[in-house]
Amino acid sequence: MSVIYIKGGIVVDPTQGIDGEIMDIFVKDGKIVEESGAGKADTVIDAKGMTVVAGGIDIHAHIAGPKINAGRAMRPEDMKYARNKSGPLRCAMGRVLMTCPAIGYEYARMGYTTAIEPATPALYAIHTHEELDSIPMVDKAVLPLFGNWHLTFKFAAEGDIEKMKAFIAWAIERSKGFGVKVVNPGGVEAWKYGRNVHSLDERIPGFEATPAEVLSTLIKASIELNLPHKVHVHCNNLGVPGSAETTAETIKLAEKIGASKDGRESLHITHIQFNAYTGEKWRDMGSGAEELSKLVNRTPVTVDMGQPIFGHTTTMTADGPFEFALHKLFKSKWINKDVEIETGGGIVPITYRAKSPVNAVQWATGLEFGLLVDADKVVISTDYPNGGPFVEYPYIMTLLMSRKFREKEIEEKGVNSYIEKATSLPSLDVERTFYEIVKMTRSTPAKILGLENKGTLKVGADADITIYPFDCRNVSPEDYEVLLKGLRSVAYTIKDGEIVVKDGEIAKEVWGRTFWVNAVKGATQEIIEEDLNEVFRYYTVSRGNYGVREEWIRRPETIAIEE
Amino acid sequence: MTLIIKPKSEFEVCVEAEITPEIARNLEDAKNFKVYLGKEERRLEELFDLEFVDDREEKVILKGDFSRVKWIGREMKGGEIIVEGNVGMHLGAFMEGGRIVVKGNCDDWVGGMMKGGEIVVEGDTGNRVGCNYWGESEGMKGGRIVIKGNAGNYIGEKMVDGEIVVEGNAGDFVGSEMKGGKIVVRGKAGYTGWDMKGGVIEVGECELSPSFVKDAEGVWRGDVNVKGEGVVRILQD
Ligand SMILES: [Zn+2]
Repeated sequence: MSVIYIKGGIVVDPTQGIDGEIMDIFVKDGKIVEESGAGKADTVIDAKGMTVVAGGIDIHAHIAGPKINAGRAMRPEDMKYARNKSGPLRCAMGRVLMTCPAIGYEYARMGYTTAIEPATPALYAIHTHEELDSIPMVDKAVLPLFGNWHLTFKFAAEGDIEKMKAFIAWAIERSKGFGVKVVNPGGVEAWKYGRNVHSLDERIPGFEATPAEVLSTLIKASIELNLPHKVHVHCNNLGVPGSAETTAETIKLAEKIGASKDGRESLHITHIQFNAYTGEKWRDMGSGAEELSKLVNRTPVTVDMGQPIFGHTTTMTADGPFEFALHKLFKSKWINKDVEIETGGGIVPITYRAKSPVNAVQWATGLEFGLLVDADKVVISTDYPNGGPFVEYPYIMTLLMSRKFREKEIEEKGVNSYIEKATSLPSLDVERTFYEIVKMTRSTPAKILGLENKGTLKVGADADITIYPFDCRNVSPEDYEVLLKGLRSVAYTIKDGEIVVKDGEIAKEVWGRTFWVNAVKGATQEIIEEDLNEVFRYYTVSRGNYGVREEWIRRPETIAIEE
Repeated sequence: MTLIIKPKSEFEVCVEAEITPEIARNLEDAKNFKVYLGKEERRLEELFDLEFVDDREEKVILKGDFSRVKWIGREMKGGEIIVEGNVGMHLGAFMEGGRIVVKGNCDDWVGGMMKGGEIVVEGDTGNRVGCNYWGESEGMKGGRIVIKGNAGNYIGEKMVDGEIVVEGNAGDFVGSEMKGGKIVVRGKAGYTGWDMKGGVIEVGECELSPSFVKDAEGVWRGDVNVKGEGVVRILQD
């Protein structure tokens, strides 16, 4: 490994309160070090006039696993776009859905160095890890799905936090996962009977538990287990008018339980935009972002935006009943999947149109969250690929930083004027500072994930660094074009202390680590032995063959939780 | 100007060369035109001998064996391409205008999702002439393809408009899911008209989908399975 000096850059690092100071950064053996400990430089980067920040972190992007893979097979028309077809790099294809190499290269070219795959059935984790191992350039982790697992329902119904802890620890160890993902708790199970659940207090078919009980026990167990990342939820009633109310009730569950032991939030509401609509019918649908943002700001809850991007994309979620509704609405192709006693899923292609009042409200609602929630609590995301391609993060950052750019987009794209009535976006004069944007893409996701060596330029941190080709102190919201161009094409991306992108092009292909959490010491495993043996009578795999061994992963890194 | 292009050697792997008559406008640009030998990027003159004739045409003449060269005439908008021998896959894909004449045979995917212009093949073609690319909901949208020899399977799948004429025989699945336009097969065809929604097929003889109904004038209409209003005329009926 080599020593890199980054000389004279304008540094922004919210974890140290540094906002645009000219500083030198020293990198050695993949870490950020003191000048005195760096030794002789192998490479000196003259960063004069450029902005130096930590590498970006995507907290929620469906980049690997059975869903995106089925989506690729379902949409060959989306896969024929070539992003790279020659040279020493591998072929990179795909318009919105991308191949594994394309995902890695595009993250790196955007200055992102970590990405979290947020929804995999534990049963299929072996496939997900194979795919994560095929994504170059970034560190990654995967969240297994708990919200519709029969054992979750059982322990929730019994209100047995100890068993839930043991079960969570067992499942994330077996799947080499990172935390607890919940999608429409109870709703995916109900979908197996052609139904859905519509409120947090409705009984889940076949079980004595309710979605509220599922969420509460999972949150409490995650707090007690000291998981670095607490419960990551896709709320009930996603994507329909009135969903804002369900989201508010979900947030209040976490409020009642309280924060984590270390003071961090105890619940992450993902792609909140998709779950934030008021009204009763599509015709009177509106944005609940203003109220929900206030609620998020005062409760132990964090969110990511789930910003839609106008254009084609493919939705894919474990939320089977929601995908069926989309399929009926758009009459487009549809894949439905039932994952034994764990979960399910669906895939449907869609197009977000600026002129559609519903899509326009979704677009505005996502931005409202990005503008109204504290920068310490909201992360930029598109819920890739559900809202659109992650390569549009620079576009979202620019929209959040410039009201003039928002107005131009509304005008030029012909965004339906219904947003004036149904959302607060047109009247919002909030403009995010560059410092806040760095929070929303670096330090905030690192904090939510509990990754202490990420999203920061502190001595000792991983040397994952983005160098933007502009001086962040000099770009004003008026110059949104300069901003957009600079954010889209980074001068350098440094991953684990190596220059992997130079002037927007991949300079070197590298392989990141896969983080997984081992919390088995935090719970008494024996108490769920019988329950596990019982459910494995109904699995297609035996218990001995269930799960992923660490040695099957390219570069595993265990985060061990000691009790 | 006319640009004459000859391969310098036999190609061990396929070459992707989106050559259109536009590149005949300027010798320097033509020499530097990007092509791919497998996954390696090359300049046109590295793989081909180029010869310019200073005339008033906008024309490309391909001499020699182009049977491993793909995507000739992709998205071409005007001018003329003459292929003196055989040519590889995806000839004239997404073509919008102009004319391509092939003196030899073509591989699969002639005129895929073509919108305009004309392709004339004096020999035979492979499968999927004037079809949609995988996953796309519409195939050929305009223009004309004339095949003097025989064509393979899948001719004009999901075709919306334009015309395909096969002077010889065609394989199975002529006009599957066709929505508009016209397909003529003067000789024999295999399975024809499956899930046809609109448009016209004229065929010498064929294995018509059983879900067609003969009207008073002796014309077959269907495919009734998809409430289609397609018309099939069997010339030797
Ligand atoms: Zn998602």
